[in-house]
Amino acid sequence: MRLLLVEDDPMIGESVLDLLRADGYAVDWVRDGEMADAALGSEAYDLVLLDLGLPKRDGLDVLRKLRARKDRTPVLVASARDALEQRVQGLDMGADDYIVKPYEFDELLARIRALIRRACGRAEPIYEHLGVSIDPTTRAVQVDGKSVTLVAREWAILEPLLARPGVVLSRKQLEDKLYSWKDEVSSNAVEVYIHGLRKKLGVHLIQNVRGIGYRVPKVER
Amino acid sequence: MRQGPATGIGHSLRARLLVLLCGAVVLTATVQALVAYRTSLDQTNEIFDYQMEQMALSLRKGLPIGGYLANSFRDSTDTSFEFLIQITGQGGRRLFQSTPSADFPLDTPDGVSTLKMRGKAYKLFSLQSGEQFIQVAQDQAARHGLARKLAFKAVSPIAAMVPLLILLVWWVVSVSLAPTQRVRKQLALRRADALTEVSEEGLPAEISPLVRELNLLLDRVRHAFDAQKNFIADAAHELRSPLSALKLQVEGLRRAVDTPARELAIARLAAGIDRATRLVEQLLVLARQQAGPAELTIQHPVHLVGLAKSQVGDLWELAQARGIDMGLTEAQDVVIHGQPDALNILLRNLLDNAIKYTPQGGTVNVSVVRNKTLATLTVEDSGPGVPPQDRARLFDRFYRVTGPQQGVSGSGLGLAIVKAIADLHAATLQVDQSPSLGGFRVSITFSVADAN
Repeated sequence: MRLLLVEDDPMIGESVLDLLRADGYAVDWVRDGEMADAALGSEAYDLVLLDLGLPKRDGLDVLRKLRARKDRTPVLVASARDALEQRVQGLDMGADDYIVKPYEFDELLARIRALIRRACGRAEPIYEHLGVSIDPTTRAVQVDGKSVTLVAREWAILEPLLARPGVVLSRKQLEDKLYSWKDEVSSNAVEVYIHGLRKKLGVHLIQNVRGIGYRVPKVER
Repeated sequence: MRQGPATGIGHSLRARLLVLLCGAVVLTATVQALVAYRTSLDQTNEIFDYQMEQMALSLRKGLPIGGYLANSFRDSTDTSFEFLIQITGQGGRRLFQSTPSADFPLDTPDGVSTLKMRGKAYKLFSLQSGEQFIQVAQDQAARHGLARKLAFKAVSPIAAMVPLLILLVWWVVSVSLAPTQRVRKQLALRRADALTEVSEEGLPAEISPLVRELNLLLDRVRHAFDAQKNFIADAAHELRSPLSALKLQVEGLRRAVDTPARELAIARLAAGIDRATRLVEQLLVLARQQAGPAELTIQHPVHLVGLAKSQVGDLWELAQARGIDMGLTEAQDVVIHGQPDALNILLRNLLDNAIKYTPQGGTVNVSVVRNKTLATLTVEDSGPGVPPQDRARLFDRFYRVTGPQQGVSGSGLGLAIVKAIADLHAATLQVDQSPSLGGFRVSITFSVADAN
């Protein structure tokens, strides 16, 4: 999953960046409103973590512009502005959620997962298919009742596929979820992690649509 | 210990007025009653004396020469007569006695005298008329009884007026002081933060200036209160960022998997704590400076050049480490009145800022210049400066300039502290672009101590 972190405070920014990356997210970090605008105009993100008190352009402006472009990227506002009217204003202007600083990082992660889940049109948190059960919230994976551990990068590949079962994601798209701007991309990284996932979860869970990309099968209910 | 100043008689205007006025009424009435009583007694005495005299005179003539004693026919116990009369002829022969008890001695002096006889006191009028000695007497007790009765009649209206007067006094005092009661109630009903004006309407001329002053004070307090509230709101808001950082840094430490990661996390956490500490310290300095004209009543002579030298000396190493050339360009000896500690903080903040925002290899100049009665302390640098449109807000709390120097971490309080200290010293603050270095220039102008 690829996130845009908009945060002007260097200490908060570097901590959030590292913590989100350690959790398997690909994160780009911008420090002012204009950079946020530019990033949102040129890249597709799964979620924006937006501070409001920003240099050059206020976070609410960034949000307004984003929604004016009919961009439906989930936006989670994380701000020190805690007054009721500020929270209401933030949500009314198009934020999907609002968390007041200082926050608990675990809560931030849970909200990020919930927003991504809902953006994918999926309310139920657990994916079950072919004897594999995956809970993206707890990252508990069971294959035929046995627990399996995935590394952060494997998650980064699996999560977007699970988000929209049936939809094919290209290698480039998966690569984007895996790396942010500053990372060095190795050419066959996606294949390496897909291989690892297939070994752990069985060859049938992740299907290769030749010439197009990868998908996980849609579960009929 | 709560002593209600309004409840003690010594402090309540109303109680004092009531007590004093009622006291005066009672005292006046008492004196008047006493005088009336005495006058009444004296007058009655005079009238009775006159009556006895007239009676004696009218008895001079027309008595039978032979005479007989009337009491031979009388019941000797008859006591209803107030006046006793005895008339004696030649050689003490009794010619007439109004009752048997009227057997007065014959040696009484002419005119009015008093006499004690058989345990009773008498007022006696004696008159020698030819051969006859006429004595008219009246029982003192009876006379006093009568006189007192008359005197009481004279006093009773005064006594009746006393409660009426007291009621009147009470009413007048209450009505006159009603507006103060109203103000008191208005104030008593207020919440602690209700600092709106008290109505001056209908207040007597003696009290309305007091209320006006109170309103002015309330106004000042309200402003101070609002400023303080804003300050606290700002401070609370600004503390969120370092606290957020700390929380996240702790989270980072908790999740660190290996030693290098843990060391990085600890270094970050330490930096976060330093930052929070610095912000809190700056907040305290600012709060203290804004709190304090009282502390400034002690004004010390301060040598600006000495101050500049010591601060530049203290920070020189820091500047050197960042490759910045910092020095004193002008040093005209001048003394101002002020608080040395506060002025040290002021200059330190200015120099800190200059060093922070000046790029490597830059210059920071400090100068002290005297111009007649004014002394100007200037700090200028070769940094990027501040665009004119941002200069007005520079001294606001927590205002940070955006631009090339963005990313320099500061509390946003340094210049607010400088302003608070300059204000305390009634100094003027000016910011512009340094003509010689091209960067930011702050000039603070004080009055010279020996100006007059």
